[in-house]
Amino acid sequence: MTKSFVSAIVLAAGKSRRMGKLKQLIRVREKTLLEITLGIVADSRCRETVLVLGYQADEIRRVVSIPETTKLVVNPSFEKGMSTSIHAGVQSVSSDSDAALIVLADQPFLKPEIIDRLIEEREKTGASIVFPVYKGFRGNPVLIGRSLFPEMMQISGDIGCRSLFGLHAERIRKVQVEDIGVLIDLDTAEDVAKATSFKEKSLEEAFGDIRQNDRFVSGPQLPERHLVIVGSSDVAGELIKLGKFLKFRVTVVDPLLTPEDSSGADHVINELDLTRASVNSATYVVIAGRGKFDEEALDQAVRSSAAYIALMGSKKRGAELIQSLRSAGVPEDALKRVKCPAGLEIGAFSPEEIALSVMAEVVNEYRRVNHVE
Amino acid sequence: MWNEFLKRLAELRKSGEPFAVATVVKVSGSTYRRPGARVLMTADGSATGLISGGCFESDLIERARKVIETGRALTVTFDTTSPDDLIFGLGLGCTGVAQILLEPLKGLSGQDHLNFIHQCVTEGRAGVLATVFRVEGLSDVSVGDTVMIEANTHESNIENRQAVDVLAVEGHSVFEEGVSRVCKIDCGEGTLEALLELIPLPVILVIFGAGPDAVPLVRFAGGLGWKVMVIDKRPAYARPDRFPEADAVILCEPSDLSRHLSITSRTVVVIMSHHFETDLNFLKQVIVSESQYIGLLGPRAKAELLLQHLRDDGIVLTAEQMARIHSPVGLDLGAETPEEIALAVVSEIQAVRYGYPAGFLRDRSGPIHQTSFRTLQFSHPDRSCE
Repeated sequence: MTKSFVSAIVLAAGKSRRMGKLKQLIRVREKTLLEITLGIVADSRCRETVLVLGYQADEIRRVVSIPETTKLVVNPSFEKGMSTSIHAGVQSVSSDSDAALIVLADQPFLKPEIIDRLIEEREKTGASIVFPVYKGFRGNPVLIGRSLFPEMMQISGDIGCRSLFGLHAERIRKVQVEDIGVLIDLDTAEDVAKATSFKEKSLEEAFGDIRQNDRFVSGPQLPERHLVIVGSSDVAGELIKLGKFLKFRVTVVDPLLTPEDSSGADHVINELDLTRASVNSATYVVIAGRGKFDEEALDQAVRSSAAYIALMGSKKRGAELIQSLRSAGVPEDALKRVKCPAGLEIGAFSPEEIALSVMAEVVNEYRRVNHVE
Repeated sequence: MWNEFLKRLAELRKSGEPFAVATVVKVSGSTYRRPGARVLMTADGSATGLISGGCFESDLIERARKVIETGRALTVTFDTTSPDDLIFGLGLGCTGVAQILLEPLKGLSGQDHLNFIHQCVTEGRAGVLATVFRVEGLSDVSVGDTVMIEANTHESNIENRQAVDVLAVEGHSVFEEGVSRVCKIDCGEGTLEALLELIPLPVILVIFGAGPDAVPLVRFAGGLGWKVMVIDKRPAYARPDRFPEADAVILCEPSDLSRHLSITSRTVVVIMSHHFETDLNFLKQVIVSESQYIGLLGPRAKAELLLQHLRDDGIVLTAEQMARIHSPVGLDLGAETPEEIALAVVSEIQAVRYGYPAGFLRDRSGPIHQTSFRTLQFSHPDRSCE
């Protein structure tokens, strides 16, 4: 395939409720997030840009200078979720278009070259789905070939385009990138503050010094039990403390966590690759990253020989992720190993109590296998 | 959970610096914290406490600044049910709606509702705080108004007498039900919504026996914010430096116990002196108390023997008393190490105290959090959520 026609669909219809103000209009170094995103796309090989607005579309159009070449779509049903914005965007792409690049409007550190690499990868391999991966952590944007447009029009539910990934696992290409910009989305005002203060420093320095944190030491002897926590959250922090106290070796896997912030974990791995954590039958994996990277982590965990796999999250979300892995061909007996919701039912509400409930289950599982006569 | 909050509250009051308190007042769906969770925030962005697991804390700080500036309380709604956040796996695990009340406060004020909480907690009194967080069509009730309710009295800054009376009645029913909840009241020409919050008092854990295996137990319990007291008759063991997380380490003979502390319905007890006579003497003291949880460390046979000795002394336990004894102590986790045993004990106390079966959460049907957000199983209305 030679130079393909790629349409960028920039999704900016959402009501950024967690921010409490219009995320699209937040300024990072003089420009609004939306202007930055449109600029990145314009500098890439994308041949057209479809901008989907919804919530406060008029206000956004008033503030943001939108290039005349941009196709503007207003999604009146934006409140019904991002799937409706994807539908609106896909309907508006040119009939010449070979593929659509789904771009979120809160990734100011994305580089045009990364987009071009995704496009090249699709041209080279003919893959239907292409996305960037940074050290094992799946990033954005995602490039989807025309052959899947009809299916994109059917997307619904909470996990959005990810439902396609499971169905078409063999048509996915991952592009390994060295640029953490593909992972950084500005979810909170704190993220915005970090992004704004970031000047001369590299992204890695602004958001957590990655390279120097990687202090995983492949020790000679394996300890008898190993707790691996994926992601950072307050529950994850409490799990580290309890794990250490219960004399587990504790490893945290998170793209940005620094050893200083790791509550005394033995190892911090800034790469989503459970083989690097030497997962074996004495390993207890708890995925506790508040939803970030949980699908990839779960996918790796169920394929490992871990003694215990817990997914922190609601039953509903767990069921969706498991369904997605099932579609991707993960066998049923592997999926059965996932504990979700995790923990014992002891009336746990605070992070400390939730961690307690999970560690009680971990110890129970450990002693089921390693009982003393 | 109150220790840190009240400590910070006292500091802020003393400094005279204006600050805001954010309180989760109403939730639906799967949210991180339950009603009654609070955060204290100052204009410079420092925050003590946690109400969302990071989902919207930083945004709250911005709003708190405004509240401090305007001096007006307001209720904000955070909605994480939007699937926008979930596309391509970048979403949060929790999807729900949380209403959060933000109130401005400054320096040493008089008899306000935070003082009420402070008094209830420090003096070990049960109280119900009714906090109005939504008002429609009423000119004499404002968001942030409260009724402070105790067993036989109530006090309020609300002018509308009808509203005060209804909230006081609702508050007293919360005492009886032992469950915090939200109520909606029609008040003539308007309506209001209020959180009726049972002031949560910490678990008080009394450990009889200050041996090495008590050390991890104190640490686990202290980490959960419980008040812990350790009692032993051996001076070499009953040393405060061995139990930095304990609120008190008491050196005393079992027979002198009542001179040192009173065991109430709120006290949970673990007997683990590793000495039969001592265990027996502590058990004699505790079994006639109001304590609803008495854990006996050691095999079932030892507990049988203890009960046999009680009978020999003419003490025959009722079925109700027997039900309060947990032996062998702790959930059946297969625990071996002292830390694991401590984990099993603390988990059992948590489950028993709030009436949960301690089975696997994934075997439970329905949502993880119950609709009435925490049911108190013990007879006295002394704690609800968190």
